[in-house]
Amino acid sequence: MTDQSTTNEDPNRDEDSPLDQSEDARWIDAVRQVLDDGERSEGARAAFRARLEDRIERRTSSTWRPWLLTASAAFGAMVVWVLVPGGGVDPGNESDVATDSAGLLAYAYYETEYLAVEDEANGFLSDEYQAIANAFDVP
Amino acid sequence: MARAGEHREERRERDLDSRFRALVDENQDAAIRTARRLLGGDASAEDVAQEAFLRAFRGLRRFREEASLRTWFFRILVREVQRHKRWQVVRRVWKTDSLSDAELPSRQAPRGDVGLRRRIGTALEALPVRQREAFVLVHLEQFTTKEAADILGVSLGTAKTHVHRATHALRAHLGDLRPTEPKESGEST
Repeated sequence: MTDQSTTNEDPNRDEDSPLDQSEDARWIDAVRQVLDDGERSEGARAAFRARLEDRIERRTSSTWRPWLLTASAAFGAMVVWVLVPGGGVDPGNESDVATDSAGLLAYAYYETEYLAVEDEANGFLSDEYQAIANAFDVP
Repeated sequence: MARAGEHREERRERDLDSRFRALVDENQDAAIRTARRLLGGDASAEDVAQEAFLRAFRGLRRFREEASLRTWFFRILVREVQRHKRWQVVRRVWKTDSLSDAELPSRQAPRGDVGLRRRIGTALEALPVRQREAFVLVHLEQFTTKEAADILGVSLGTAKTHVHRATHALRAHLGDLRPTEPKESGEST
């Protein structure tokens, strides 16, 4: 599912001089230094693993959960649709696909489809999922 | 005959399990880091990383080896970050905190210059999503541009362009950053 439509390459991209490139590299090093979080402790890693195992246990132990989620999310979206005129969402947000209550409903449907389909092997989405994403202009 | 099939299935389950454990052990630090940077320092980075690992666990059985396992996982992670950000919109409407945030384990206090980290975070946040993702993957997590292209599902040329534009945009805001020289005592900043 390679995104060919946005290729939009910059014709000047390869015209940087070696000096520019080395300055970029030095600047990137500086950014990395500032953002360096240091090593996580072995305790933090073990806690992460334990939490993950618990989450997997809870989330994979029943087959009805996706359907329950689908039903509850659809119900929640209907409540939003009925009770929140306009949805109160910031339309300037680039990731905001739910700019009104109808959008929220559509979006909830999209998300629940995502949960229900769960066709994520290799990161490729099912045609059905993609059709929904396209219909609601979800990136 | 049936028993041989059961043995094969058991062995396959064990293989998948050990493969998944290795994936978690080798990538949890990078996954949390990447999520944090893509989320603009959002405290739910660990939670998002956990969700991505959970999805990888569910999908591993169907993984078709068309990419490296790490690239495949980071593709899931980037999607999970996108999903999390979209749901933030809904959470904002209802003014609720993410339940899972509340149960997060103790988080590391940020190191170094907090103000500078915030400046970088703000500049990253201001980038278009794809540019931010490409920059974080290539320059902060040191994936190759090809791997980043695979993770983002774009062509190599597009990924290069995103990285290039992100770098220039960020340098315009943060051009004063300079690497600090290592101290003689060997301490790192």
